[in-house]
Amino acid sequence: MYFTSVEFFVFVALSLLAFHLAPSLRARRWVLAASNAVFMAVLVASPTLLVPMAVFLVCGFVFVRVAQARQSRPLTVASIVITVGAFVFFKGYSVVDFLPPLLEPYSVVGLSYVLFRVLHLLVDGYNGAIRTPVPFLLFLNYCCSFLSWLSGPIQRYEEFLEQESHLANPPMSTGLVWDAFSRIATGYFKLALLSGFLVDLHEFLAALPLSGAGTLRLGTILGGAAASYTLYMYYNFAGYMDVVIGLGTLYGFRLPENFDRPFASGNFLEFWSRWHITLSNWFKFYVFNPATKALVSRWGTRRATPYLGVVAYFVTFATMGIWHGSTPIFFVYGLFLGSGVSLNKLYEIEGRRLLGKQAFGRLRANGPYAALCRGLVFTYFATALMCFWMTPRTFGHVVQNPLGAVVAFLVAAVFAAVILETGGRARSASAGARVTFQRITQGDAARPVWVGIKAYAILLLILMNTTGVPTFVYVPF
Amino acid sequence: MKILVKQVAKLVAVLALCHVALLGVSLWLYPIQARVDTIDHENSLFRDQFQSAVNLSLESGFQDDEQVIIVGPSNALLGFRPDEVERRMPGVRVHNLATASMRSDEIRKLVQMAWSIMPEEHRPRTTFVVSVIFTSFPSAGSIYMRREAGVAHEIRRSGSFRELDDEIDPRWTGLALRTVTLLRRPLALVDAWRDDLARIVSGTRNFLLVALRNGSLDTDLLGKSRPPLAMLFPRADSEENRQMNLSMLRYFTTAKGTALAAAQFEELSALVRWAGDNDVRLRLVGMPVPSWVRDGLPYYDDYRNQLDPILRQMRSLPSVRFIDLHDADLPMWDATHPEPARTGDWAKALASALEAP
Repeated sequence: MYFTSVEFFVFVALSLLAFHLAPSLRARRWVLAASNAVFMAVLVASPTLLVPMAVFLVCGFVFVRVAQARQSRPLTVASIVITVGAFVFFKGYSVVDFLPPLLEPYSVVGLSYVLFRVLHLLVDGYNGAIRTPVPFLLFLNYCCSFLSWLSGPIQRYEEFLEQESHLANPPMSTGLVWDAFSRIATGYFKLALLSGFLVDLHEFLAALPLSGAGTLRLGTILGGAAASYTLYMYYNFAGYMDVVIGLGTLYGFRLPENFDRPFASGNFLEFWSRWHITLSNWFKFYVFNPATKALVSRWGTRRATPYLGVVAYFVTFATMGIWHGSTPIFFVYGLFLGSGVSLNKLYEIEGRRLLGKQAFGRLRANGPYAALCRGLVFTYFATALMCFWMTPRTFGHVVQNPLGAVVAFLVAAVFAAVILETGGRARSASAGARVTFQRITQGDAARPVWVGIKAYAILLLILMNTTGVPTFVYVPF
Repeated sequence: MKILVKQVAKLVAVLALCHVALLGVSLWLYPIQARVDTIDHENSLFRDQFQSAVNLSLESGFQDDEQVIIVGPSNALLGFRPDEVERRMPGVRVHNLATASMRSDEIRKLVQMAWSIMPEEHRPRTTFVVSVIFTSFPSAGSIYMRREAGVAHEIRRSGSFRELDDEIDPRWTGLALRTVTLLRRPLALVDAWRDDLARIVSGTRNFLLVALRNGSLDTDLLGKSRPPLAMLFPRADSEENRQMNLSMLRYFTTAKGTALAAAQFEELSALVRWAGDNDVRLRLVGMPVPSWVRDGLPYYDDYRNQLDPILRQMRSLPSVRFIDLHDADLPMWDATHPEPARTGDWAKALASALEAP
């Protein structure tokens, strides 16, 4: 049951109908639980594949309740270690290759995001931020909501609880419903069409021969393949988010945003506050903050503290990168991310120290400099993502021509800067036209017509697309 | 609940209105016709020939009583014009589903599709005319074999069939099939607009239609060559042009070597067998081939040798007959195609042969 399948639309229609027909909050909770169970069971080939997931959830629930009841540090630490250990074992990370694997096949789809939610409940349950005991049904609905089970967004439990308590009479207005329809249509455009076109382009470029290629050819092909892959990832993931956030609205949930024009970021630190926002926030709360606190308490001095932040950034983002997958290449990806963010932080510290706060601020506001920074952020991220698609053969070509690779990187950064700057200017220039267009299409009478035409056009294009809809890229993570 | 249901109803209403509007536009631009002729729709709703052959067949369902359905490559498309054949066969409706450079496997699939969507009561009153020429059996390295799109592709795209063991079964029959096809029209219309855009961007044109309309050919077009290429062949009015015809045929049909694809002959054999088993009236027409082509092509003997067992196989099948026009003295433009101004002669030859006892 993929998001673009007819089955998914039927499933959502039935689930929404049952949800809104349910007479009480309690009944609606059960409808949500049943919907989640059906979605999970249908998505994997057989429900029996979800047995490890069920064990993980039950143990997680027990740990959370114990952490809330006892507020014991050793017990909570042990629970976290066991939970993370089980996750590493089930996901089959190469560090646990020495352990015998489970004999029966099983599915780990969605396990990563369940882990984040369980750890959040554990830590916040222990430190008293979540005071009321978490009921089992709510725990399941929170951890396994079909809207965010696969890849987020990672909503905080307090926020979920507040919205969930109003589900008997969820906030629903004509405007909200049309916002949701429009968002879902846009999401499908990104997910099923735009990302499909980009992945085709990427596969075409990535398959081009590189033997004997000069710097220009190597840079052009690899740059094009990297850029198209990055944009594919973005539109695929952001499109999925649009769909689930839109659907969430129809149930009465306001799921948190996960993307905010990430390629407009002026530096790598800002990028992570715009890309996969809820994951970045999770790592900020549960890795960066504790790591910084621990480092500062041990080695913190007035001069050293900013540099300890650099180390904490490295640890946080390296962990985030490694979390993405169980093979050694994700370790490389983690180092890439960690290095990028920590070097960025170091550059900021040194820039402020050498130029002074105000002069450094002026430099950052300088147009060409800011544009170049945006280009560098995009290019660096695209380079990091090459870990996911570059073959050893392609890597060999890059290694054979290291100077060419560096030149290609810098040229690509300038090129990306020009494109992003042009895009940004076009966006600013068309702001007036967009406001006028919105005014015309947002009226009570015009809205259904506009959204309907948009949805129809997208539906038609999806049906016409003979190359097939790309799969959701984040499922394996 | 009420708000949601009301807005969903509004959305569905707008979607339905959009669909009806686009359906109306497509029917206004391209009304449904009783006769199916691929070439009439060359530059219309169902943009290219494979699409038109498949979609128009589905839409029409072949409703006429006594009917002839012509299937084959471009020489059948250009040579057997339906109105010219109908003039010589009063009371018979002629449909032409031929498509430029059609291979034997595509011919088989199209014949079987036409048969499967036809109302059962019309089957006994239907004759399939399948043109047989060496170009329908291209070897693996030739440009025809490397062509990506085809009848099977279009049948798949139509969404109206299930494929089981290489057999194509309609999901629906009769009115339901035609309704589904009609409802899919807006999709084809937008598809056609997209193709138009692609053609404008890529600068390609349909040479077949250009050649047919102008009645003259320009060898300069060869620089932009892409299938359908058949009518790009220069007029065979000089020795030099005849040699060019032959070298092009060698390239397009076999690329290298002198043998045609045995697998393609097996497709023809399968078609004959299927027609015999299902009592389908099938007329294989050996298409005209000038003597300078027969003598000048290294694989012509191979073609005849591989065709012979199929002709022998046909002798035991009462519903299948071979009409040999290979040696007929019909006006030719080039190695395989009719002289555009003299297609009536071709129609006459076909009509006479079909009406012969």
